[in-house]
Order: sequence, then structure tokens, then C-alpha cells
Amino acid sequence: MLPPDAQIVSVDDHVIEHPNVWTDRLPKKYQEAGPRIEHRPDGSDVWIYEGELAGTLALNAVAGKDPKDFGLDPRSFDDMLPGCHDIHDRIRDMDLEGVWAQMCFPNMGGFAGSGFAGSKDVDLAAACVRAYNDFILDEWCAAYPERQIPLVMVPYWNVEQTVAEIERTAAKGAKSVTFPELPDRRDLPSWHSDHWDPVLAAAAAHDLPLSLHFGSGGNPQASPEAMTTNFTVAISLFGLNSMSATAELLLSPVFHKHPNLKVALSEGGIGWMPYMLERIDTVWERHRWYNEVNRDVRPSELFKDHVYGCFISDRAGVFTRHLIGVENIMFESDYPHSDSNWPQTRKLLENVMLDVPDDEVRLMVELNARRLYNFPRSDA
Amino acid sequence: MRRPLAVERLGQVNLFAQSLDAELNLQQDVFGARVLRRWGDGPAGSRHALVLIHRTGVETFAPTTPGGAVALRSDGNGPGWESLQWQVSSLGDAVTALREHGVRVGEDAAGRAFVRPQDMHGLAIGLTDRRAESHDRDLVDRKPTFRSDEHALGLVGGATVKVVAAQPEKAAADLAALVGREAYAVERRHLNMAGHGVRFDDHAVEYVGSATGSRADLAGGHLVERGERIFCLTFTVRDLLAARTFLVGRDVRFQQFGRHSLLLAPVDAGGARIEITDTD
Repeated sequence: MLPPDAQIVSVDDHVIEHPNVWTDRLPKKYQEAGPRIEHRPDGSDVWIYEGELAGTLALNAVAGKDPKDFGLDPRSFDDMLPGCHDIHDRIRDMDLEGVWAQMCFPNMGGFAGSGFAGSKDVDLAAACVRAYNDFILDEWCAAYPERQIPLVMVPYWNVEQTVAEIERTAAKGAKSVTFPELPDRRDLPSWHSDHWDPVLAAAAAHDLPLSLHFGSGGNPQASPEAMTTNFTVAISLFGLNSMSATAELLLSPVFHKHPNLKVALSEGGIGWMPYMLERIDTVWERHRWYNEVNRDVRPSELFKDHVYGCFISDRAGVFTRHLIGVENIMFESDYPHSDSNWPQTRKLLENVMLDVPDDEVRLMVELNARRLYNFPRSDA
Repeated sequence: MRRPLAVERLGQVNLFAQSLDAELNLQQDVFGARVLRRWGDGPAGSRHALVLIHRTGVETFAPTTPGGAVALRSDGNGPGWESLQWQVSSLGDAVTALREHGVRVGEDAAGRAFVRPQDMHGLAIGLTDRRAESHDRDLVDRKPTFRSDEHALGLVGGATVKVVAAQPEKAAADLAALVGREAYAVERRHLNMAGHGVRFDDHAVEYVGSATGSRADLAGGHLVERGERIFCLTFTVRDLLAARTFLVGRDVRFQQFGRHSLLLAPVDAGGARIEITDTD
């Protein structure tokens, strides 16, 4: 069961950027074109970027709402939970749900910064990424360094700039890099190419795991209705992206070339992992001889050393945890999104962990995350 | 010259619930309500309880007979806040004042007067010049008890009855003219509501509507689904964060809107929405 003294570390939550994140930090020449909030006559707040409506104000930031109201995202900063954008309120909300520390993904620019990828001004895009990272490092996480794990974004559409940003932010205390789970779905080279080697080498050199949030590499492959009138299908299938990323990564040269690289499949769930690992191993056993794939290391062995699964409430995954590897599983709260159990997070996690030995619970809810993200207890 | 309706005080806010016991449990466990009186009404097919939540009286009606008057009315309108009852010093004067203001008023055999919601922009009003029995809140030397005045929620002040209306400003102006008081206006951006109300000595009545004319937000949706009707009863607390912690400890579900407003889910609130706020 969940020990009372276990400090829950959630590895996937979200910050809703406040209106001054970019206006406070971008150089004067970018003030007009950079992200800014416009308050509209209908009472809503919207992001304007490069003169056009852009990004999302509070995508799915509905924690605590009745599921019947999930379709109604907050329309303005006034009506959302203040903890979405105010770090001091965020800590109060974490106290209420019983979560000690968390790692937040960005919102306005997408979970991996894809919102800036199509910018007309590429220098502005890079400046926006730097400004976000300065916000998350110097303001959001610096206010509560024991309770916020700094996750930075990179201008992944430009390898040189990405390496530079990894170097810069690592020096400032970054603990992880958010990155598209399937870069080829963003019309960039896939994990199988050499294209990403400088990025992966830099991340590994600085001991920065890549956090691959589902959906950061695009929507799951599904019917037109799934993406329009019946989004329940798409929501159910987002984990497919994590499954695809697992197969692509384990059967690519990535971990062979970068033996110190680690990745976390954020919000991907874990219940599917035992089957997927078994399937990938079986395919590798039978088909590796005529494919361009490493022939010496079983994919499931690579998985143990390099891949971490993340779950919110996944009884199937907790039940089959030994097939996944207890040391490869981490918990996530997903505040303030609709999968979040806030404010009952700890209570519901206790129920899920009732039959799990304390030492295994400690690994999954706290210690694995502290080890992966190099985020020890302050009293350790 | 038209005479104003002299409201002496709020008698109680009336609530229709499916289960009296479940409603009382919520009122007592979460809001520290003190039960002043419980009784049954055979002819109406109902059970009743009058409680005091901090300083506000709440009477709950629950049906006992499927075809009874309370059951029929509850089936028609759905559970939730039904009306408020004002105490006046003279029922005759009150009826006269209402009629002078062009408000239709009915009188029942028990000597009570009432105004239908369609005649007061969604607010159903009962009027009486009698005080309910066992109102020990009337005792001059009554000492506050833990359950009512020092409850962990930290309730302070009187309640506000919020009524969704198609024309909140006009509704408040009409009410202000009726009772001879000033109307106030307030913007509640966190709820996307515009409010116009009237403050009384021990409570307030506030008409609210969507600030943007939406038919899908809280007020707009209520207007579409339930028409002009009481939307919620709002209680003020000293410290919203402390109140929130208390609610989580009691497994009471709520939705938070902005920094100052918690809405208790209607299912937990017996179908009657309750708002907790730390600001008026």
C-alpha cells in the first residue's frame, strides 16, 4: 500500500502560461509579434502570435470539474483554477491532492513546443522557446525548487539551435527535455535516421531524459469522426502514439548509439507494455535477420535500461508491473487536465496500490522519478 | 405613492429534495446545520425539516407519496432550490404593497401569501407574518454553538440567493423598487456572470445572467434547461482554502471557478447547487 511518508512525485502535469511569460522576456523587437493575451468582448482570453490567433489558452484544464462540463474549457484566466498559472496557488493545489513534486509540460506552444514550429520568423520562434524556458526555470520552478522539476522545450525543428538550448538550459538546472514522441509525424526525420544524433548526444551528455508526451507527435491515426464529432475515440487512442514510439525506438539504432539516453512515455499508460514488449521481442527473434535492426540485444533488454512508462490510473499496468519492470514505472497526476483525479489524487492512488508491497509502491510513486530526473529529496 | 414591501427578515429558503435523510446528512455534516424542527405532512405526502445553516434558515421538502402534492411539484420542476420565504410584520400590508407594485399575489387557506416565480423574474416568494416554532435563533441570549457559528467551513454573514433571470438588471430594479432598497451591480467574471441584486439585513437576492449572452455557460445553460429560477444559494466563508481542504476531507465534490468560488456538485447537494465564496 501507499506508505504515508511516500512523497508522490508526478512526472506529467501542465502549466498554463500566464499572460506575461513572453511579454516580460522577449526583446523589444519581438514584443508585437510574440505571444500575447488578447481579452475579447465575449469575455474570453486568447493567445495572439505573429498577429494571428494561436495556441490554446487552457486546453482541457478542467481539473475538479464535473465530467459533464469537460467540453467547456476555461475561457479566461478569471474562471480557471488559479493554480493553473500561479505557482503559489499550484503548490496549494498540490498540497490538497497530496502530491509533493511534479514536472510540468507547456501548454500554449503545445506539449513539445510544436506551436512554434511553423513560425514565419524562425528567430522569433527560437526566442519564444528560450523565453519559455527562462520562465519555467527562473520563475515557476525557482519558487519551489523542491517541488517543481524543470522540464524545458527545444526548437526541435533546428538541430543546431536545439543542441544550443540543451546546453544553455542544462547549465541553468533543467532536468528533462520535452520532445515529439514520433518526429516523423511532424514531417521531420524519424528516430531511425542520424538526424537526431547531436540532440540525443547532448541530452545524454547532460543526463537529461527526453519526456515524450503522447500527442506531442501529432494525433493518433483514427477515423475522421474520431478527430471531429467523436473525440472519445481519439482520446482512447492517444496511447497508440506511445506504443508506436516504443516500437520505433526499440527497433531503431537510438539506444545503441546513445547508451546513456533515457526516455519517458508521458501519459502513455502502462497496461499495454507487457504485450507490446512480448510482441516486439517475438518479431525481433524471427525477423531481425533480414532487417536493418540490431541483432545482438533483445528489445526488452533495451527497454529496461532506457524506457519509462507513466500512468495516472492503470490497474492493468499495476497488476502486470513485474512484466514491465517496477523500476521502469512512474506516476503522473496530469493536473489540471481531464484525466487528473485532483483533488482526490492521493486517495485514489492509495486504492490502486492497496495490494502492492510498500517498497514497490515507493519506487513507482517517488523513487524512480527522483532517480530518472536526478531530483533527490532535499534531506537525502 | 406606492408603499414598499417591508421585509423583516429571511424566514428560510425552501428546497425540494428526493431524500430528506440524505439532504439532512449533507446539511449537518458539511454545513454544520442545526435542525430546528422536523415534521410530516400527510395530506401533502411529504416530510420536512427546518434547519439553520449559520444564520440562514433552510426548509427541505421531500416526498413520501408518489402522487402527493410535493412529489408532483418536485417531478415537475426537478429537485433544487424552490423559493424563499420572507417574514413581514403585517401580511395585509405586504399584500397591499405587492398589489400596488403590480405584482400578482396569491393567498392560501393557511394565511400565507405567495408570489409565483413568473411574476418576480424567477424568484418564488412566500410571505408570512408568523414566526416558525422553535426558532431559537430568536432568543436574545442564544449563545453561538460550534456547529453553527464556529464550524470548520468558517461560514460568515448571511446567504445570497442567486436567481438566473433573462433580464437581471431589470429584475433587480423591480425588486429594489418593490422593497424600497438600492440595487447593486456586480461583475462575476470567474462565472461569466453579470449580477444585479438587492441587499437585505440578513441576506441578499441577486439576479444573474450570462455576461456574454451565452446559452452554454453556467447561467445561460441554466436558463435554457430550467428557465428563470433560483440558481444557487451562496454562503460566504472566512478562508476559501481552509474550506476547500475541509470539503476534500469530507469527500464532497466541488468545482472551483477562479480564485473565489466553489460550486458544490448538485448530486452531492441534493440537486440544489451551493456556492461557497470568500468574497461578496
